[in-house]
Amino acid sequence: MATKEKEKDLKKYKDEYKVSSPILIDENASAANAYGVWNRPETFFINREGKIIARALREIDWTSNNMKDLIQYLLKEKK
Amino acid sequence: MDLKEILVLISILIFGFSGMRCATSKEESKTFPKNYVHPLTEINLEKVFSENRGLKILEENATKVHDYYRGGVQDKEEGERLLKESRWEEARKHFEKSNRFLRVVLKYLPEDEAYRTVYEGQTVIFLPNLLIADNTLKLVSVYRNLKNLDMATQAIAEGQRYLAESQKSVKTEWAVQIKKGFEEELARK
Repeated sequence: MATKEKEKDLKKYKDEYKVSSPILIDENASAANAYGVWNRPETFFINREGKIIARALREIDWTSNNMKDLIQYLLKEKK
Repeated sequence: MDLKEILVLISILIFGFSGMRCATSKEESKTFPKNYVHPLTEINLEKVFSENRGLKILEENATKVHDYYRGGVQDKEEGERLLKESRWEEARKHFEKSNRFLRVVLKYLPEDEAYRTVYEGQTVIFLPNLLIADNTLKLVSVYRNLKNLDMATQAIAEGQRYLAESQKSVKTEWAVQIKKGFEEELARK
């Protein structure tokens, strides 16, 4: 979710870093405000019921063992 | 388990991209003359409420300073609503809870700021001292209605301390109104 970035910068970023997931533009920061985001990046994990089940308040190394363990834990919790 | 399977079970929503920081220009922070008094049309309770609505912050889930600020504002809004309905006891609980949240904020960020930059280009009105002063002024009236005059007297003194602290950093018409409110309460003693 991008708040302040311009569309052309986002396209460049997506190409450069080969980002496959969708990037949404949050005009006027309305989504960021609704989620209470005061830091960037900030990550929310949302389950199938639409409930926030975890939140990370800083940059994440998605390949780290900690992150793998967290995702495994969250998936087990919700099965 | 692959990414697709993970995304079927949970959605991952990321606000902001660290790699993009250099690609965007930073907005200049707002600056004001030293003795500038922010008018009520610019800084007021309704604006503070609207900036902090959204996900409800529960005491047990608050982890960051901004969670506590947001929680403090949200409980204040609820307290104000109950006060208008003359539901004194319920209003008291929310104003006191709001003050608890805001005191945690003050441990880490003791100064009020008219506009605090929370990330590039995004600012919020950040007045924890003033919000406690305003809550406490409302609590004076709540305590009077609950016939707890000792607490009302203590609240006047406490509220004035927070008001003075706020005015050291930021001058607002809102603070002038609160000051007047405390003076009126003192005259009633």
